[in-house]
Amino acid sequence: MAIDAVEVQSAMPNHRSKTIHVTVNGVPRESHVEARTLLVSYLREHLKLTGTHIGCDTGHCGACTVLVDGTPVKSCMFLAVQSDGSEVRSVEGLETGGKLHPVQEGFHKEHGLQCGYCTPGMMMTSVALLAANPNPTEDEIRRGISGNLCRCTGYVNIVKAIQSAAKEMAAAPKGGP
Amino acid sequence: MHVEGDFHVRSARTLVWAFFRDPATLATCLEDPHEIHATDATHFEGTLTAGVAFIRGTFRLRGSYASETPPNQMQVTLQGSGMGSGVDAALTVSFAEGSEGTGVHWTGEIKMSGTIATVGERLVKGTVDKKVTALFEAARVKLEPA
Amino acid sequence: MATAPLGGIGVSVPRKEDARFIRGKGNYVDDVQLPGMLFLDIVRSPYAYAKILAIHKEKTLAVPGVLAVITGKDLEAAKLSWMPTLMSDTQMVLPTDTVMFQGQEVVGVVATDRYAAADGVAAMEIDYEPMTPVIDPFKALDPGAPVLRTDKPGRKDNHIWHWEVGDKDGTAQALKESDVVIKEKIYIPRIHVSSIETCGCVAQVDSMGKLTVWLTTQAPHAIRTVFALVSGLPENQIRIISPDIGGGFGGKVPVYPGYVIAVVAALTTGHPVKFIEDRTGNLTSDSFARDYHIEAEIGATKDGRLTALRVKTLADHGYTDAAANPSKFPAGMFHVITGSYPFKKAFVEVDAVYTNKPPGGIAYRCSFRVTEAVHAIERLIDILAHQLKMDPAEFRLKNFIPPEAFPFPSVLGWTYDSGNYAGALKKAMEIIDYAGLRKEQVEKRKRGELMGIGISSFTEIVGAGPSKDFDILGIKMFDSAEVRIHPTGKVLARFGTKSQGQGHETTYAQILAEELGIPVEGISVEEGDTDTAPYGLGTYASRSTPTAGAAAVIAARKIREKGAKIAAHLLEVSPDDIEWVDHKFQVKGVPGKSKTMADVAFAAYTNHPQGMEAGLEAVDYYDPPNMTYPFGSYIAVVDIDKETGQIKTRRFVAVDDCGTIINPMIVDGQIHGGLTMGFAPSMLEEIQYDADGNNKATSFLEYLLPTAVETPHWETAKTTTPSPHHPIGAKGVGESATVGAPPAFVNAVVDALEPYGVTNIDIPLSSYKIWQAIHSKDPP
Repeated sequence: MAIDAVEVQSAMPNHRSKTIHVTVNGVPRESHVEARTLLVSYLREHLKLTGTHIGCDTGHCGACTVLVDGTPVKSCMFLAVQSDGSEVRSVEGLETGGKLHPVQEGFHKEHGLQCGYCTPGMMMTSVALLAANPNPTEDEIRRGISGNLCRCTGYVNIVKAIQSAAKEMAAAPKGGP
Repeated sequence: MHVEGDFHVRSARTLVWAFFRDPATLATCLEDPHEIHATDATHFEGTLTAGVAFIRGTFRLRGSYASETPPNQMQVTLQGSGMGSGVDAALTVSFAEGSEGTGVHWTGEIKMSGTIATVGERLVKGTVDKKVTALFEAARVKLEPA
Repeated sequence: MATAPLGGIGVSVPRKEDARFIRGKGNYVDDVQLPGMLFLDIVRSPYAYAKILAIHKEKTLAVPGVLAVITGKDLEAAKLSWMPTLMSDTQMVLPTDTVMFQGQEVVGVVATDRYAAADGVAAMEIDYEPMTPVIDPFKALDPGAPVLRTDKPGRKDNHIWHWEVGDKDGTAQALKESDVVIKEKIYIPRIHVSSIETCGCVAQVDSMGKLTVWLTTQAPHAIRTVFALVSGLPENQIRIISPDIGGGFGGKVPVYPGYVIAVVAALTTGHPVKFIEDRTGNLTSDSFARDYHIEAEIGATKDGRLTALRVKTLADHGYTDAAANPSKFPAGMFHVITGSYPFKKAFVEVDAVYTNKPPGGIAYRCSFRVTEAVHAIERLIDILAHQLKMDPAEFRLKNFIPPEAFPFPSVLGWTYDSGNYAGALKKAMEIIDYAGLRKEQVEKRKRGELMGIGISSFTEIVGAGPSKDFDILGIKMFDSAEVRIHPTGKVLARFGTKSQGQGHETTYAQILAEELGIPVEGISVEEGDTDTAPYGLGTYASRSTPTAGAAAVIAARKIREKGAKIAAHLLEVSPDDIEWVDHKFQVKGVPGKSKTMADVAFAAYTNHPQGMEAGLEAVDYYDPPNMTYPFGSYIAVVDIDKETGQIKTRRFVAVDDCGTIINPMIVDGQIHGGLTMGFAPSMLEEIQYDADGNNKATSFLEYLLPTAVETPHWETAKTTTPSPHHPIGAKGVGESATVGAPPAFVNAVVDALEPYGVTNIDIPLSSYKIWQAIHSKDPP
């Protein structure tokens, strides 16, 4: 099988690039990125942090959610250059010193994930939610995660996972995760 | 979708006709960046950079004049493509001689396909209405004697 | 008999696969990065039906980073511009002269990265001559309708096939003799599975000419065979790897054009090529589900005994029949439509047509057209009950197939394995306090408030299937397990299926733990790599536990047979004196004298009896003797705001019976997810086309997936009626809830609107439709 009709030419991309300084999961980085590079592409392609996923390209599904200076951001709608000077936290930054974050523990214990594709974004939103409201009601949790779509779980166990994490975080001594 | 409208200017009908019959002159009424030139006596082509909602980019345009009865009526057809979308427009523009100038009336159908047709009908219809109205309003202003 | 440390059958073992997913270490297809990898993007058609006049490649090829442009003409030269569908129809990989639907793949653009490829797509100029599309499936059958498939010599219309089953004349007669007959039109709209991960692949050709494709596929082995047959490459030179899959739901069963273009691009450029759909590509071109226009009649005696069922259906398949049904059944298992009831007479016919829409007809988390069947019968039962002025619960209880009638031969040819339908319904009624709700409803109606209670008592048919009836493109629908015990008593087990979130790595390990007496932690499960896993037909239609799960049991029992001989050798007794008790090999009647499977495994490699083969492993290709028939009863309670038409689901109780439960936590998770994917098309999701064939749901802005806010709080419960023919009595559970839920919602809403004389509202039940139903009638 040969497709000889295909025309091939070689050329390299040549777009304006910019230098950014970002702290990603605690590691300071200096990177050169095309001005149009999305934050999700920067994380996935430049830094090989593939835990942050792309689901819809339009900011609806939340699979790409990461924290920028503690605020959940849909990284498919956010330019890498906008994170210049910021602290970015992705799913890879949740586990510290070999210890899982209570949100990770909660999702595992309560079966809050199935295919796992929405899970990183869902967990990052949960981390931000619990930071803002350490003891949320079910209704508050459901509203809090309404920017993140899950096709597998029906959300019941995600709610339980976040409740379980809230409990564990409340019990943990101050200065914990 | 259907578009229709009219205006009146205090200019002679032959002048108004000539204005509309020249693609280069008519193109000066477009507010979006463009490059349009005639390819023969009845055809023109070029590009137009425009946006509807989050779809923004350059459309390739091909147009023609048909069924002309100078200086009464002309049909302008326009085919645009780009950004995964197609726009097909057919407008009938009529020029009526009045006591104090010319009455211009336009009516026609604009058909959209592809991405642009799917971003939400209401959104697109509003934008297209606005752009067509703006085009004719710019023509009116340019034609109005000082 | 299961004990928690073993983690066998019936234990809620936390999932093994979670370890990588919660750390962001899953390996999905878009995570595959290879040196020199290029990216493929696709130019799609803006028109539903148009001639391609010219494709201008120049501007795209001038875009920095763009390396190649692939058109239908290029593929035609290699005889690859068309490919077969799973239903033996034909589908364009890329068109050579005509586009058949909006969003169709027209040109492939290969570039150094996805940004450059997108630039190339934006720069592409194609001249089209639009034609008038055929959108309405009924008009597609008009004598004057344009014939769409002009590529097929001799085609004179858009009719694809006619399929029927049952006693046509007998059913007509029985309906004529029935005291009451009702007729209803029900449309099950076109929807899309929209897994959060879209589809994609990475294709690589190595220096020895071997093709490896990482692919979002639910059926890697079947895909390998299809690739071999289509491309002419030797099958041993093709390796399909299905990595972690971000949701499948049936959408990742077919082969999509993008995959083939990526393979061609890899072969042509010599570089690995990645193709990942964007969401719009996914929604506009990947296989749709449903789109059945049903017209049904149901009869009963005046004292409420069901008599006969007649169903006529028009199936809109788009421009090609790319459904994923077993070859013998072009309408899938739609003829399970007699449901939970012992009809004496039934007749079902389905006609399929071509239109200018994307191809498909796949499942949406259901076994081959079962959702359509369940929706129709459970709606009809409710309409009939209302007509007879009988309570819909009482009407069902009166008509159910009784438990003692199993195995039950259905009038349309299935043999239901086991069931206790009244048991499930009564349990649901008790949990939700059905009697109390009916009293409350009476009170509310007096006050003019709208409250409705809806029941769905569904019977599913899953686990395809017995090889005498079931194949896909000729490949029989068995499935497989290969179990290998290492010398230290640890297990590697490989399967022909492929998990997409169902938790196979845990549940298969639990089955093996139970059967081998080896703790679940010591059992690794692998799937999805055709170079290592045994051949199987894959995971869809709730078939993994009924087929591969059964294969695991049989393979384990084969190992136990050999193990017994080794244990006899170690214990110096005759193999006949060994029995398997408490997960150990034991000398009959001597509890102290036993060997564990780990002991036996070690001996199998270090001290096996002379004359016996060393090692301890087995493989089984399991051909199920019958389908399994999970069932359940769901009850929804809704309150409707008269002023806005807004529906609020107050409670939803789901009682499921999937036979033996392996992991209760995972089963509940499957039910929660299934219910949500039943709720979604009931309330929100639909892909509509305008008269010009423009798809009106091309992103999640218009195609509405339920969020945590809309999704009801599900209440679940179980009854357990094991399958008599499955080795551990399991039936499969992944899809029951998606199949069973929609009619419960519609029945509840129609029940609430009974004062307005409403008999049916087609899903999705938008507030606007409800408001119209309320305001088109005079207030009661």
